[in-house]
Amino acid sequence: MERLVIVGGGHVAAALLSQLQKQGYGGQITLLSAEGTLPVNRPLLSKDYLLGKADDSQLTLLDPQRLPDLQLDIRLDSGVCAIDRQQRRVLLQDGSSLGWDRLVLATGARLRQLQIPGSQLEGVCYLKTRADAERLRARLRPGQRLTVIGGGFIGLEIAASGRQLGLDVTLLEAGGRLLQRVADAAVAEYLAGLHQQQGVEIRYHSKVAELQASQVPGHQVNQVLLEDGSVIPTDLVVVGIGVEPDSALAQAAGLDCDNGVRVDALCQTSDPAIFAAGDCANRFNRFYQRQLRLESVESAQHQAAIIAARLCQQPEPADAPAWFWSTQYGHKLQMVGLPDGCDQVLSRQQADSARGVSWLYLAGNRLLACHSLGRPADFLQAKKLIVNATELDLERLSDGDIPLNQCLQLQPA
Amino acid sequence: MSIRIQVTSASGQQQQLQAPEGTVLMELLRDQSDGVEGVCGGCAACGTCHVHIDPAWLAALPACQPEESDLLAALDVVNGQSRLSCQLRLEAAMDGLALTVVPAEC
Ligand SMILES: Cc1cc2nc3c(=O)[nH]c(=O)nc-3n(C[C@H](O)[C@H](O)[C@H](O)COP(=O)(O)OP(=O)(O)OC[C@H]3O[C@@H](n4cnc5c(N)ncnc54)[C@H](O)[C@@H]3O)c2cc1C
Ligand code: FES
Repeated sequence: MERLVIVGGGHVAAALLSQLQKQGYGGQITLLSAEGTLPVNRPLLSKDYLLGKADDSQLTLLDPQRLPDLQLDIRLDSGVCAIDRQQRRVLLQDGSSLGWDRLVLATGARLRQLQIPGSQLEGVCYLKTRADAERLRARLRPGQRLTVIGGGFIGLEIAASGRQLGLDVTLLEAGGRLLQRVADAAVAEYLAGLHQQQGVEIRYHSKVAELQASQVPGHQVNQVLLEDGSVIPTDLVVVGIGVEPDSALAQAAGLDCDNGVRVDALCQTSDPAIFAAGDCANRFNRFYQRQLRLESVESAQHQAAIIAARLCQQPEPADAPAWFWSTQYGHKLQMVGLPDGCDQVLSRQQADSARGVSWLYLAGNRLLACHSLGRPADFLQAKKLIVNATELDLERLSDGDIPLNQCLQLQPA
Repeated sequence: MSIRIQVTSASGQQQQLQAPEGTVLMELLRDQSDGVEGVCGGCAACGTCHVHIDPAWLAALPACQPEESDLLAALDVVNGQSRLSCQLRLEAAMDGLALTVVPAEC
């Protein structure tokens, strides 16, 4: 019987098991996760969970009871420290080893760590696992001063949750705008406005030099020192400065790596018996016709579905435009497509309402991407227009009262 | 209490499922072959957990919140029976609930 070993217990692992159950996989599966909990629904950690609105069943992505047909052994707190490709074994941190016929690397991404004096002080938090989230939630008390380092999605979501819980929030961004790596300037500006309205103080060009605890021998952080010399008093610091693909195992095993584990369109690494997927994988995306490493739930699930299809000899799902969402103060941002190569940005909203806005990224009269806040119809319809490379009528597009799917360029009769 | 539901898949197959009260319907349907995708994990962000509720059961369900109705309105095959299964939790009053899975649109 085929022995399948999955390294990593996050979104890829959960989706892969669900797919294998659906498709009737007959092999012996072992899931090895460095985390102490079953796969956790990470998006909830920075949003509903911090706000006290998510329960256990929503937080857990995988319920082994719903996978009755799989021969499945789940081992938590079981970090893999090496892959032996010759012997086809993985070595575990506890010194044991395990044989495999097929191996899936689903190790995700590691949080980038702050490397400045004071980084180890009490009250300096990160957010990735359920344990991180529990620690952070216990510290989010009304009236406390929260400093968020990093203006990416996770930083913004934590800032929003902190404000909603009644903390004073300062957000420090090293660059000149928010979401530098992941969203366009128009979106960043809009979200910055939203946060400011809600009372978050955003400070741009703010590089942190040191975290300090004034009470010796107190270890609790109580101020942030910036490179320009300014000092921000604080009770709590949360660091959200991005992630690095976790490809250490693959690299040490001699697999091709370059911004993550390099895989082909079918998630195969340079060793045909080893797959990689999710945040750790730099995959050839057939929709975009290039290598791409994405950090999103949708991409993790899609790649898991590709691997499941291969393991079960089923046709794999087609590639589609990437998509992502984020929620801040109850406003939902939904993003589909990649704006690279766009020559025009149009924004659209309803004439008589302040409800929602979408930005359309176009190349000529074709849509490349759509980022929408509170206009879910635009998001869903844009997905289809991008997939089909539909030619659009730009004038109609700018009118937010006309549904996107009624903005097609009419063919001359 | 365990709640029973009658599920018709998009391809017309029927099966009965059972889950404890309080279970999110999408989570139950997600692991079934021919079940829903539920990509966003219940954040009402993706619309891939769409079901049509048997008309006899519509009144037994809690009303749609704006988040759900906004997203539903954006789907193509929506009708008066449409709900997002991630926004529904099984309750005693739903024992016997009948529904049909609607395939994800894209
Ligand atoms: C707080 C937060 C909020 C987010 N919000 C959103 C959102 O709103 N929308 C969205 O699309 N995406 C969001 N994301 C991103 C999304 O969660 C990731 O893209 C997704 O989890 C990637 O799945 P993965 O399986 O590749 O990695 P992960 O889910 O990170 O799982 C990797 C797993 O591998 C384990 N592992 C690593 N090395 C080893 C080893 N050597 N041995 C054993 N196990 C190992 C890790 O412990 C972990 O369990 C969010 C992420 C975070 C942290
Ligand atoms: S699971 Fe995404 S909207 Fe229901």
